Order: sequence, then C-alpha cells, then structure tokens
Amino acid sequence: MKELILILIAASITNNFVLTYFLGICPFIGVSNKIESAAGLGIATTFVMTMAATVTWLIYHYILTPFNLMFLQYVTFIIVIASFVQFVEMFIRKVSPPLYKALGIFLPLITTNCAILGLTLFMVLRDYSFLESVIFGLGAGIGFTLALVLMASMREELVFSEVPEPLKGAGITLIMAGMLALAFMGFGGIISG
Amino acid sequence: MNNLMLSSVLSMAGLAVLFASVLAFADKKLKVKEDPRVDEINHLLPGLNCGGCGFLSCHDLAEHIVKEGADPARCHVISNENREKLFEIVGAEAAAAYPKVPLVHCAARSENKEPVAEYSGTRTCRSADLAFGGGMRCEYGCTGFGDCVDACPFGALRMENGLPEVDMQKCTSCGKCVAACPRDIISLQEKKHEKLFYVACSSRDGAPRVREICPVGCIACGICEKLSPEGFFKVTDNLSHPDYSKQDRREEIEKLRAKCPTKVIKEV
Repeated sequence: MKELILILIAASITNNFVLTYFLGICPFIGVSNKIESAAGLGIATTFVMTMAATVTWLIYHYILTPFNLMFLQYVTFIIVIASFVQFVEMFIRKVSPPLYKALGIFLPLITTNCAILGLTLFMVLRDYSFLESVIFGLGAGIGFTLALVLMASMREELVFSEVPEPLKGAGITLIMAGMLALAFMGFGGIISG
Repeated sequence: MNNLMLSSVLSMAGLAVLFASVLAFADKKLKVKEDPRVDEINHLLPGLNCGGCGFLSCHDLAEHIVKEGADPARCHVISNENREKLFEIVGAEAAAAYPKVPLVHCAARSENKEPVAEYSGTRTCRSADLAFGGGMRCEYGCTGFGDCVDACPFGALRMENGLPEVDMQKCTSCGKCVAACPRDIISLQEKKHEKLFYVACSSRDGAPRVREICPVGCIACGICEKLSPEGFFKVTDNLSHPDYSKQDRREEIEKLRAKCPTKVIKEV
C-alpha cells in the first residue's frame, strides 16, 4: 500500500511529468490560457494516461512478452494511445461542445503528447506491476492536470500585471513555467526523507 | 524467424481490428447530430480551405453561415452555380455577384525603381520593408520580392520585371495577396463594368519627391479631380483615389486618363 501511495505522489508531484521531466510542454503552454479549458484538457489527458497505462500493461505482459515481440512496443503503445484519444474526442464532442471548441486542435494532439508515450515507456522500464502501473498513470495524469491548472490560474492573473513589452506573450509564460518548475523541485525531499 | 514474423503481424492486426471495432462502436453510440445544412453547404464550398473568407476552413465557414448567420457571400472562390444553390439553402436573395479583381497600386518596374543602397538581406518583401524598403527610395512602392506570389494558393501571380502580374484565369479573389503585401499595395475591387480604372500608385509623398524618385508615380497634380466634377477621382494625401462606384461612364474616364501627366491611371 505504501508503495502505491509513493508512486502516486512521485508521479504527480515530485517527479511531475511536465515540471521535472519537461514532457508535454506543448499543451502546457498552449492550453493554459483559461482555467476551464486547462482543467478540461487535464482531465482528458488523465483519462487517456490511466487507460493507456492499464491497457498497455496488459498488452505488454500478455501479448508482447509471451511472443517475444517487445520490439513492437512503440507501435503498440502509439496505437493504444491514439485509439483512446479518438474515443475521448468523440466523448467530449458529445458531452461538452464548448469544451470541444475551446480545446480545438490540442484535443487530437493529446495523441502526440510525449508525456503519455513517456509514461508507458517508463512503466516498462521500471518494471511496474499491474496495480502500480494504473496508479502511476493516474498520478501522472493528476500531476499534468495540476501543472496545467496552476499555470492557467497564474496566466489569468497575468492580465492584470504590467509585463515588460519584450516579454509579453510567450516570453513571460516560459519564465513563469521555469519558476513553477523550481517551486516543484521543493517537493523533492518528500520521498527520500 | 518465420514464426516471429507471423506472430508480430498477427498480433498487430489483431490489436488494430480490436481497437477499430471499439472505436466504430463508440462512433455509433456517440454520434453528434449536426445540422444537415452544414454538410450540404460544406459540399457546395470549394473545399480549398484558402481562408479568404476569414474562417479557418470551408467547414468552419459553413458552420458560421448556418449557426451564426455569417454572410453567405463571403466565399469568393465558389462557382456561380454553387453560389446560387448555397443562397437557396440559406434562403437569402443572391445579390448579383461581380468578380473581384486584385489591383496592384504601383507601376514601378525594376528600371523605374530608384536605388538608395544595395539590399542583401532576406529576399522577402516583409523583411525588405523593415530594412528601409529594400534599397529603393520610394517608401510606398512594390519592393518586388514577391511575397504576394508566395502567398497565392492558386498560382495566379507571378513577378514580371519587378511587379506582380495577375492571371485572371486562375485568380479566385481570395485576398491572400492583399494580406501578404507589407505595404498594402494590392487591393480587391469589384469589377462591375467592362473596364475597371484604378490609380497605379500608393505614394503619399509630395510631388517634388515623387518627381525625383519615380517617373511613373502619382504627383497629385489634381487634374483628374478638376476635370471631373462628377467626382470620378479625388486627391487626398497626395494621391488620387478613384471612386469605384462611379465607373459606369467609361468614355469620360478614358478622356481623363489621357490627361494624366504621368499616365498613372490604369485599367483592367
């Protein structure tokens, strides 16, 4: 049990995918304008991450390993991720057209979000058990959502502050992302301590 | 070895079929009902996604026409036959649509461009315009690097001796060249009559300077304005502007045209 909690906290906070591994930076910068859409994308990505971790673990251990097909892991993982993204896209379009519109191109682009492929590859690399993988996927998703929502809430406040002319737009966003990453490094002591 | 190949092909195919069927099932279950008119209009639109209407794609325009009442005449590229059908679907009266023609408001060929320095920067109009006009003295004229040619999705423009030439057979009036020109030299105007008269100069410089640097510029002498009390032309900001709504009297304008000292009034 303690192991699982550790994995959850490590994936979501201390080893946050966005802020310590710098995976998935594209949607992190692209969709963090408004809290609603950031949260929407975060939840969609969390779903895809959890499901991808679950299904890829099953496929890896019950199909690829027995037949000695580990070299096909990349292709397989991408197929799984792409299918889930397709599914999520249909689902969001049905349930919440405004969110579908707000997310725009970033919704299908979850497919190419390197955080998700990274997640599945880490899972293989670290030899997680089934339950650990599911928790790892969930934790990574929560961490991604957390980073996205934090960033979005900061950027919403940014409108009211005076930003030096040359830094407006992308410049100040990247600086803020760096500071947020620094702040997250402060959590580093939780696990080892 | 054979076994490995077989198992890999089979497992991949199996997974693909599995995911495809799950997605197909989900697609049925989660289908979103769209207004059928959106699809109909989308089929009538040319599908080039040129962006000339100001929307992201033809489908986006179709959606805006149906849901937000966007002007169905926004697409210039559509064929006349399809335009009528489109108006029928929307239920609007199709106004007589005149073809829009891109006009190049500069007449300076390469030999007319007075150099001020040698320009060796990036060969695009936009950078040349930033760098003191790409080596020419006129701050308003065509720099001649052909950003408009690159922007044209239909290949209707080409650079001819320092000025863009429009192939009206290919032009769809999408307006990309207008947006691409950093000096706003190109404009789109409706061609309602047999001939469309325009002033092939954009210079706001005063007469002495224009005389000095360009043999084919408008010197704002005002003769076209003085000789036409009906207001075919009006000189403001050191430049003559034609009234495009008063072009039905071709002979009178042609007389004025002959009077222009620098022959800067052109026709298409």
